[in-house]
Amino acid sequence: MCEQSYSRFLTPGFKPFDPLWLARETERIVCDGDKRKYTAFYATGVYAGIATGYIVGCCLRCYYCWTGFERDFPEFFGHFYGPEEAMRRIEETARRYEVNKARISGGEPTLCRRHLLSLPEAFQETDLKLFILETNGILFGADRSYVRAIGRFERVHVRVSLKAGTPEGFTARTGAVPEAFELPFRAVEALLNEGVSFHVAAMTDPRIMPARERKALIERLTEIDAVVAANLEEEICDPYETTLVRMAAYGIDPAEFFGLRKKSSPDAGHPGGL
Amino acid sequence: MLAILEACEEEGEDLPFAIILEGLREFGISSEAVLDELEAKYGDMPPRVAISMMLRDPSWRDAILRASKAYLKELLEG
Repeated sequence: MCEQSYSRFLTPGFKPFDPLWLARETERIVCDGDKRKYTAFYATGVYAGIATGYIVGCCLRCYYCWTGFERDFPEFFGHFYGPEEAMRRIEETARRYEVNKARISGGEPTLCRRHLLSLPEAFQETDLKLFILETNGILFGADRSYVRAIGRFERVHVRVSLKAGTPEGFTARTGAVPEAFELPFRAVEALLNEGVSFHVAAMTDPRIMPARERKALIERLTEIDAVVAANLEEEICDPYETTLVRMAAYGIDPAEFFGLRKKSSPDAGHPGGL
Repeated sequence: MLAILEACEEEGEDLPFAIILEGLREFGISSEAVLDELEAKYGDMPPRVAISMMLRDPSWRDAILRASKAYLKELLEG
């Protein structure tokens, strides 16, 4: 049996991986009991000001991803924090910057289940108004009981970030096998059925997702629920340093992509635009 | 509600919902009382979070459902 290697950057001709396998492998690196690796605690202007715990580790490898290189090399970054200590740091950050919302970001929060399910418990002890979980929906889609467990917490809001409207687009952008395309949609259905506060975001930037695929994605969401589809947050790709490197590794010229240099040939497209 | 969904598309998540409501107030869209109520309940939330919360509020649920269907028609046909 051929052993699968740990996926880091996507490169041309990559072999698609099973994101559930990658989740387990990443958890071996970034989880330790109920502890999880974080690299920083800070506040940022998104969501009109939010305290953020910056976590390590993801189970997808999107070529446009903005997060730091700890996504690709989680062994080299971060320190372990238990849920109470992490929430204490987040709360301190919120006070220092006078914001009333909190989130964990920079990685996939649903990795390290023991840690994640204890974080909202610690959050309930704070007087912050909202705790946002930004997820790719892979693990929530694979296990309904995980969604149910999150649904019992007050003031927790989930943001599910969809990557594609077709299995082919999903694989080309995330590196994951096309069979996993359905998982984030299953997560959306589970969040809806479990009564969790959530909304859906999608990377529908036309440089990444063709118009017909965007339409397919919105239609698919509409089949699940009209309000969920209408409340879709559409994302635009920005030229973060890590995004530029990941694009270049994948064979996309970032200068062409971001319109700073003319295309070298008429069919110089992007791998995600199938 | 339709105007709120349209405004959210333009403004994104980095402004509080109160700013969206302020814009609607300036253009005279919706009544002051309605906008006051929404601002008091959800004003400091991110817009998409505010809409999600309104959906769980029985007094807003039907309005959101109707507006969502109209908005989706615009989105898919536009």
